[in-house]
Amino acid sequence: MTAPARGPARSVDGEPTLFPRLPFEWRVRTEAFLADEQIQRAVGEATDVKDRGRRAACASAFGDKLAALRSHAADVRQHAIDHIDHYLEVFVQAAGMAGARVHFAVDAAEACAIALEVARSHDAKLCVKSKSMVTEEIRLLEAFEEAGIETVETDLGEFILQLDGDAPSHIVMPMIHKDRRAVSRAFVREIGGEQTEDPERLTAVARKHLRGIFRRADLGITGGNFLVAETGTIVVCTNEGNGRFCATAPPHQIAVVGIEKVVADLDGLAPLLKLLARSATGQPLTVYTQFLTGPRRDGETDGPETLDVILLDGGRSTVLARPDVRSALRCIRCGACQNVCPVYRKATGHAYGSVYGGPIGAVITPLLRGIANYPDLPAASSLCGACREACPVDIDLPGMLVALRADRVVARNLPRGKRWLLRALRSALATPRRMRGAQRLVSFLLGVAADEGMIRDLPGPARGWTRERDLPAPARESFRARWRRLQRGGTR
Amino acid sequence: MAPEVDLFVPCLTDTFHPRAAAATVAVLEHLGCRVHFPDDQTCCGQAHRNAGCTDDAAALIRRMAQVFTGERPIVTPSGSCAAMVARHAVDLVPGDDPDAPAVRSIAARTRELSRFLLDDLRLDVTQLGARWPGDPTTAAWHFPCHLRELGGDRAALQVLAGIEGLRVAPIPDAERCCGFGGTFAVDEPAISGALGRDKARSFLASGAEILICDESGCALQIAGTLSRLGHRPRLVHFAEVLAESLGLAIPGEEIVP
Repeated sequence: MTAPARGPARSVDGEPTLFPRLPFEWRVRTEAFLADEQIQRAVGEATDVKDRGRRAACASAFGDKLAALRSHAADVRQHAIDHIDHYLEVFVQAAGMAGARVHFAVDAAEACAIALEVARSHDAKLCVKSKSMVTEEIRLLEAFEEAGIETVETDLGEFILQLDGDAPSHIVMPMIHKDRRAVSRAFVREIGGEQTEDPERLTAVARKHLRGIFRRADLGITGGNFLVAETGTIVVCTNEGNGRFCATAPPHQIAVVGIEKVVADLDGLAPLLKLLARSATGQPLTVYTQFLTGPRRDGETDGPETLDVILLDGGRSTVLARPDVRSALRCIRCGACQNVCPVYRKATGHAYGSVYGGPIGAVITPLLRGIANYPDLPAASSLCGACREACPVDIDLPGMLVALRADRVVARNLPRGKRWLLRALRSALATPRRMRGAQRLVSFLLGVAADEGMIRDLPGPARGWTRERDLPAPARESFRARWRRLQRGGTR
Repeated sequence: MAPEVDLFVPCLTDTFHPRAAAATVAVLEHLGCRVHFPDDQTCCGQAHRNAGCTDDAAALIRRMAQVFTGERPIVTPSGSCAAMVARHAVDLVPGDDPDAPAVRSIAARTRELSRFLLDDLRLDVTQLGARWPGDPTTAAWHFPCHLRELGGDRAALQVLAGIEGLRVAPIPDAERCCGFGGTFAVDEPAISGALGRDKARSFLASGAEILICDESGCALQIAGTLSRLGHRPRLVHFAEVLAESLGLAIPGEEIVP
């Protein structure tokens, strides 16, 4: 056994990292990660590098045509989602013609059950897996380990996380929160690797170890970046070649893919491939971009004998049913919004308590797992808009966060202090007379509290402000009060 | 004929930075505008909209639409409030609502000050005749996130570039949020505070003597953070810099509108 079953990874709060007790309280984790210098440095540097890479790659490849390409890519995705029933049907038919078996799973439990049934039908003993967020979503690895089917993550980052009993914290760079030292320790401890922190040598250790496993594996599991309806093709984009190994070496393959990944045809796929790798890592294209259409055909030397495709709903139809957030399903999981997000960069991925962190996670996690279960996430944004600007398919993430905040208000689920603050503000802004009165009161009270023009300590819901910084004192007289006093009236 | 404009002074600017509003009046009048200040105005509802209090935000934006009647451009010294009115207001009021035409009208007429100077007044900054009053100095300009919603380019910087004796550059890492974010600052103090410190340190590292910040919320965040770190640089709105450089105001002294 290379990776003994040890249950799900746990985070600083003692809860399973990606599947914590609900409702999830995100503050315990954020405060711990903010104080963790290693995590702050690792995540800060890696997101910076990828964010700069994205900007440079998009600018050099597309120049001033970027906006048009983004809007085209957004249209392609939106069209597919708006007609998802149709395109899934087309996909099922085309994939079936090519010899694949296609299954639909309503939720994680059903998806795992189908995958296990397929694995058992082939009497699988050793399973290799390429990186896939959907398989994280359905906890496939745990299900397979519990069923006694040895399953090995073969993406380098995921492999390290599996060895270390850890969980991914970024869509594209799963081990962004770890440093080399941790990798070296895990290798020495778990697979008897040499004591080194040299990335190339560490990679060589993993490569050698994984080659043997690839040769023996009888089942390969992949995700899918896109489903091409027209041709029944699953597109898998990877950089390490492990995805190709998983889809070619073992005699059997399962692909688990979210239903929203469907696109109409190959023409529509082209702009998405142009944008995906550039947005994710700054590469023109991922090193391996595989088009899997059915299992091995007569006369072919590569490919699995059987291919089972499991299409997961997992709450996606809830998102589909809401016009105000539906276009979140356009997401192509490039991680650009995470790299650019000031909040993600500080809180870091595991703070979100789910498979998806960052701006897209703050939108889809509450939608997929219940808004009442993740009440903090929609508020965890300064609405700076950097995510929307970075998104290659122009998802209005800030607008959706606001829509989810409104859900919480409608459900009367705001924290008391905040509700009080907003109500007081609303009442003060109802008429100019009240506003002037409130300004005079605030100016007086804060003026008394101020020391050299700064207030250093505030009570109640405003305490959060002065815990971190001072508050400049208000002006002695507001603009409107002075305008009125000078009797300038409405005009001059 | 002198262009006539309505001035919208957002609540935070009005309460904390009235000098920026007064400077806005001085600059607009200097450039030949007749400035109206409809004194029934209160607020655009941005804080409520962002917090998800949609009904409260809608009530405030309807109120604003009833106050700012007519056809004059509505100029405001705040990018985030301009974005609220120009980009989000129409989504708060159903299209067939009796107030919808008035809300659409304020959305179409609202301009952030620097954009108004460049786009509507077609200000030629080389002909501005503005000179920084005092020894030549350097200033760091803060990029407020909400400019992204208004087209993203940096009109205030273009205007400031026309001032002799003042070298202005964006704060390093300009496009990274300062962490204010309205109620976010008190909802998530730890993250907001960490972002504020990053911004404050970027400013300090720039070596600039003056901090130009055109957004009242960001100004509270950055000035408050700098103060907590033991620094009290001069912090001004670009309208104040412009008014001072045009001889309409004296640095450090009040501006009478």
